[in-house]
Amino acid sequence: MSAQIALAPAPPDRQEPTPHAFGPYESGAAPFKAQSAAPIAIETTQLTKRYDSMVAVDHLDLRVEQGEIFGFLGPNGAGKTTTMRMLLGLIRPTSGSASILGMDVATDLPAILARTGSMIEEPAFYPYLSGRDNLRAMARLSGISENLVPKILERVDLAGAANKRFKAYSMGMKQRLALGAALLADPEILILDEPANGLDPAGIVEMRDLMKELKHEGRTVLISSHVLHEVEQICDRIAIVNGGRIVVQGRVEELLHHNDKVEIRIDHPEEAADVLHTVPWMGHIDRSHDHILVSAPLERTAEINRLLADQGLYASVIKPQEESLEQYFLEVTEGVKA
Amino acid sequence: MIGFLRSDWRKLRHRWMPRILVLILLAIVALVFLGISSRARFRSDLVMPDGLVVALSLGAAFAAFIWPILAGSWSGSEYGWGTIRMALTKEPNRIAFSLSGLIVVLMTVGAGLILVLVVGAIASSLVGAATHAIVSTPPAGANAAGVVIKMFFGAWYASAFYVVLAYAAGAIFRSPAAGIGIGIGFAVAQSAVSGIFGALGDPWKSIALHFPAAYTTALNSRLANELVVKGPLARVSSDDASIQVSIIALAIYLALLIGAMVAVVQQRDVTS
Repeated sequence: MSAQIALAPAPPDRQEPTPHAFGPYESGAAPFKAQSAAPIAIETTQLTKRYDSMVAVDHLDLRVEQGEIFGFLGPNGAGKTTTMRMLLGLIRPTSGSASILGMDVATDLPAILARTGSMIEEPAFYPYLSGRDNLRAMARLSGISENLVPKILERVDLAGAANKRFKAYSMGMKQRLALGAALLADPEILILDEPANGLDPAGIVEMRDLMKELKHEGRTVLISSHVLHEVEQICDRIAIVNGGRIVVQGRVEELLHHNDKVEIRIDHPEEAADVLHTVPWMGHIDRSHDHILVSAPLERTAEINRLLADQGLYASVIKPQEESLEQYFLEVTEGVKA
Repeated sequence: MIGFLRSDWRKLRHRWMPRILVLILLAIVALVFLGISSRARFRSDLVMPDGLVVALSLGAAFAAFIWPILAGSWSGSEYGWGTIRMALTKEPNRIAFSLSGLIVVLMTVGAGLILVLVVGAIASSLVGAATHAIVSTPPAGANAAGVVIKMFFGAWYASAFYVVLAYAAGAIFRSPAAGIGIGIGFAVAQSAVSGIFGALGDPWKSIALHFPAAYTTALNSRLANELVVKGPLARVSSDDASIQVSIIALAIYLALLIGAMVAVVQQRDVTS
């Protein structure tokens, strides 16, 4: 599996933000508007990072459209964090280039970072400062008003723990604070590395809702996560990397239904399989005790149903096989390993 | 740069370590002052205004063991906590990031020395009251206030070497332990090696005269000698470099250390 799926740009969802536990962002400044003239938010061209003989990122070509949530997936050590660090100027690429909002990371980094919020690996703050003071310190670095800090703390549901020292925070609170720091400057682009790491189930749901809210506000989110169920629910498109290379990139629903497999639940799977074996356009047939899985064009599902019914075999369910992102991820990454 | 300085200032205001280190320095100065004053032949050097100069000399002498703790911790902890990546994804100017922390630590050293002056003034007054000599007479032509001011900056400048050494080591080795260890370890090793080289005679002895400690000692001794000329504390060796040479030599050491740190931080990937 190495082919990449070419896709049309997704129109940004411009619904109004919905009320949420984190609350809508009220910075006082006008929220940014997605620019239709420059639909590419993040782009890398042959981006490569080598450490001596080890290639961490290998000629990576990534395109993230403005206004979408883009999942950047891969097993540990696949090169996700290194790529994100290169996008933020923390690591210099060995070769290739990266641009954000049309600006080159190598030459326009200050302008890029002024419009980008990020969260790389585990939250990193000064342990002796409170959550509030950490955000104030970050606000000073970003050259923005400290008056925004209370609103950000409310948005990430940390207003009640604002005066607590960072070292006393739980993992979930640390993650929220890191997200607050990323949102501080009202960014157009968010680059989030494992934002759900350490969150409890309720926190994961809140994070998911927040991601959707950010998308509705027109922001672009590049997110890496191992919580594939969440990624499946929130991401418009994904790229799966392995060994520093993109293995597959495309829309989530297209990737998960790419294989034209039809699942048939039936009382007599052996007889049904015998019938379908006679059909010339039928592909591979897998049989189990209560269902069969056939490779066939999805548009011929009704025809399959009629063929079986003609032989007195009545299916209780005929549907395209739905693969979870988790299954797909394992299939893709293990396929590459093999 | 302004953003980094403002951020570092906030960090300084909320961190206990600088306050504790200043208190330790003040306690050491006060105790040594008390110890010296117990010997009658030293007392004449300890009354005002000479006592201020002695206090600043003590502040500079103990700088090598106090300030590397703060400086090495300040720079190295940015890597240990990973806060460097948070900072550089807000403002990517790595030179400003490196220098702002250093400036704030050096300001803390200055504030510490002001408090050393206060402690020195109190201690001098107590010694003066005890010996019924409230104020010593400055040498002919000496401007006591001018000497104290010069001595303040001399002590600060001498302390700056150890601050910069530890700060640069913390940043270069990405570790507070390395910064502190190299800062204090260098001071200790320097004393030991200077002693050995001195005992071996020339040419080893002349090499030791170019160690940073030789210049920090020479600078402070010569500045102090402008006021404290009577008593046994006013010792200046004929081997001591002049004030001008000491300032230039220390400036070269400082430039080398800061240059190495900036070059490394500027070029290196941030993987912390």
